[in-house]
Parts: sequence; C-alpha cells; structure tokens
Amino acid sequence: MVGMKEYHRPKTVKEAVELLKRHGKKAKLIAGGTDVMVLLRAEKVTPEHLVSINAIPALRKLTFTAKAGLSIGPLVTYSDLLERAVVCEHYPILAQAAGLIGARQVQNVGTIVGNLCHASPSADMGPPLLALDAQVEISGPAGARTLPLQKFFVGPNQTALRAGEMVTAVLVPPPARASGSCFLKHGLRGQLEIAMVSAGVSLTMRNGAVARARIALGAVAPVPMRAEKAEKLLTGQPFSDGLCREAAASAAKECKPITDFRCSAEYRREMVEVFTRRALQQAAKVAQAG
Amino acid sequence: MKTAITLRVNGDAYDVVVPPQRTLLEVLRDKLLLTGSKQGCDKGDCGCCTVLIDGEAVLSCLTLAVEAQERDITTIEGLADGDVLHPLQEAFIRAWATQCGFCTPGMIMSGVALLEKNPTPSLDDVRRALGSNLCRCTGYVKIFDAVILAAQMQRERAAAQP
Ligand code: FES
Ligand code: FES
Repeated sequence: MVGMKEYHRPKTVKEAVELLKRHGKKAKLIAGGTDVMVLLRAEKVTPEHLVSINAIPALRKLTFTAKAGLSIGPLVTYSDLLERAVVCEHYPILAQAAGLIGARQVQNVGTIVGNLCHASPSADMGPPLLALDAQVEISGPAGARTLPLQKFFVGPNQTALRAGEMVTAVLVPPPARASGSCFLKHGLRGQLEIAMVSAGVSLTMRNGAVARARIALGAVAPVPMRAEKAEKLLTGQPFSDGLCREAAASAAKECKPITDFRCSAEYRREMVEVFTRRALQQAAKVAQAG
Repeated sequence: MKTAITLRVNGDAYDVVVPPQRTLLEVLRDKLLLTGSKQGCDKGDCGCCTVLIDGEAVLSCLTLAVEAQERDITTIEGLADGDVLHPLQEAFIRAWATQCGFCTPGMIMSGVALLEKNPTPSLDDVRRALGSNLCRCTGYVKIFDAVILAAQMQRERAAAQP
C-alpha cells in the first residue's frame, strides 16, 4: 500500500462527499473493505486518501415498509440481510444470494452496496437486485440522484458513479402479490466461491399468466445483465415447461460469456440455459402458490 | 500520516500510533505481540487470522487497524479464564483436532462465534461456520468433532452452574 497519506473518518454523507470531491481520483471509499482491502494489498489501487464511511451509523439502516419496499444502506452487511426476518420473508432471493457470498467472516463485514460498487461481472448481488428492479440512490457534489441498477453497471469494475459521488442506498420495490423469485449460483465449491454462472429470476403471475418476468445473469457478460428477450417470451403467456425451456434457450443466446481460468465460454452458455431453467421453475412454483 | 488510536483487545485498552494502511492483524502481532492470530495468506483466503469484532468473526488481515477502533476485539489469547481453558480450546485438545496448529486459532475463533449464536449446532452448521478456515493437515473431521464436543461441554458447564 504505497503512498497512502491519510485516513479520513467523516461523520456525515456531506463530509464524505466533500472529501471524495476534493481528492478526486486520489481518494478511495471504504466500507466493509472485503474487496477494497484486497485491491489495496495487491496495489491494484493506490489511493492517497482513504475515506471510511464506517463512522456514519445512519448508513447501516435497513428498512422495510409495505408501501416503499426495502431500503439497504451502504453499511448493511450480508449477515444483516440474512438475519432480518423481513428480508427472508419478502425478498428470499436476496437472502439466498447473501448466504452464498464468500463465507461467514466475509458476510459479517462485506456490504451489499460494496458488492455493487466493486461491479465485478460475477457480483452475486447483481442478478437478484436486477431481477427485483432495484434502484441505486446516489449522493454527490451536484446533489442526489437515483439510477436503475441496470444503468449503474457500466463495465467490469466500472459504475456510473461520477467523481465525488457515493451510493447512499439501494432501493427495492415492494414485493408484488403472486410473485416468486430464485437465485442460483454455479460454482465448484460451497463457499468462498466466485460464480462461473449465476441466475436471478423473478416472476409475477396474474390470471394464470406471467405478468412480469425478470431474468438476470451473472459472470456471463462484462456486467451483470438482463436477458430481456427471454423475459419478453414469458410475458403474457401461461407458464409451461415448454415456454420455460424456450426462455432459458433465449437467455443462453443473449449472454456474452468469455473463456477464463474458471471455465470456457461454451460451458458458461450451456450452464446459463440450465440454471435459468431451474431458477424459472423454482420461481414459478412460488409465484403460482402465492 | 500516522493516526493515534485506542484498540480494545480482550478487555484491555491499547494506545497505538499506526499508519492508515496497517492491518489489524499486523498490529495485533507486531505491536501488541499477540501472535496467536496467524498470518496465513494475508488476503482473505485462509481464515487463520480470524478474530472477533463485537462478537462477529472477521478476518483481521482484511481489517485496517484504524477501522477497528471503538470496537471490542477478541483474539485467541482472550478466551481462557486464567488456567481454565475455553470449552473450544479444551475440546480441540480432547478431540485431537490439531496437528501443526497453524489453523487452530482461526478455527477456534470461528467456532466461538458460532456457539455464541447457536449453542446446539448441527454438523452442517459447523461446516458452514468454518467454511473459510483452511486446514492443510487434519482433513477437518476432528475439527468438526471438536466444535460439536465443545457445544456439548458448554451446555454441561452451563448446567453445572448453580
Ligand atoms: S491471513 Fe487472513 S485470511 Fe488468510
Ligand atoms: S493443523 Fe495444520 S493447518 Fe490445520
């Protein structure tokens, strides 16, 4: 960690934003640190100023109302999500994903918002939050703005955050009636695993047909992505095995995987089909029961 | 620029002056000479450096010392009560759960965090709680046995208390 000059511990978002603005590219924000520390130790980032938001307790807020839905502050950890009954009840897909990240020690300190800001193509919180139509609330020198999560991911490890900006919450709309969701992660081991492929889907049924479908995929494109053609195939149609297979095949066509040391692009594409199908089946079961 | 901080470790307060990039693990080992927490990979992969912060298992190699101020830190050195070992320490001895011992402090700290939350863990719970603690010697079976045994011992100790 060469060249680090100063550690800042702002007490408010305003102060944090000011610091980020003042130091621009020389500043790095740290929350749980599970990604940032690895980057710092490997000198993949070499900030002169480290801006910790850990002394702003308001950012640890995790709130739910039936009207507004869920608001996840930037200090909310995976363990926080897992331990909150309201999340397990209304947003089981988020608990599924949080429980599959790293292992206990990482879940205890790593944050949902950090996972999004690190913007790895395989970020486990990406697909489930995309499937739930999450929005990202941002504060910066020019004030506050809100972006759909889909627009937040720009490229591998790149987000739409501008200089001086930070995420102040992830907003998830209230769950619709007769909806079901499912997140599946494909890896070689149960813990401390980075997804080879992941799929997060959410379905809402109305009068026996799919009223709303979301299929989001991880680790198969430069950013966590939606398979929108597959979603369209499902929308308005009664859910059936055949349709589910068609949608899964479309998702496999839509993704843009690469070959790396984890697996080949061809394998990833095959697995997108398998995991999309399985996730859809599970989500449909829940949605139809609701 | 160095920062003066107070670290609360095992109930004692330590005033230290550290550069911002110093990890909690480095300060524990090199400044406070609490060398029970081990430096395995130093990048979040092995769990040897596991300590408790406010009761939760965390990796001290991925925690900056400055970020640990104002928190309660527990290391392996803080478990025994004088000569009376913590049930987990005792159980690791009884179950022969240690070979070279390098992973042991981290395993025990993960186990402590688990038993605090769940005094009657299943084998699956244990495997999950110790999931990011690597051991290159034992094959894990005796380590998991030890945690289950410790849970039992802890319940017995609690029952024996008047
Ligand atoms: S030394 Fe911290 S995880 Fe390996
Ligand atoms: S006993 Fe040697 S690494 Fe576990």
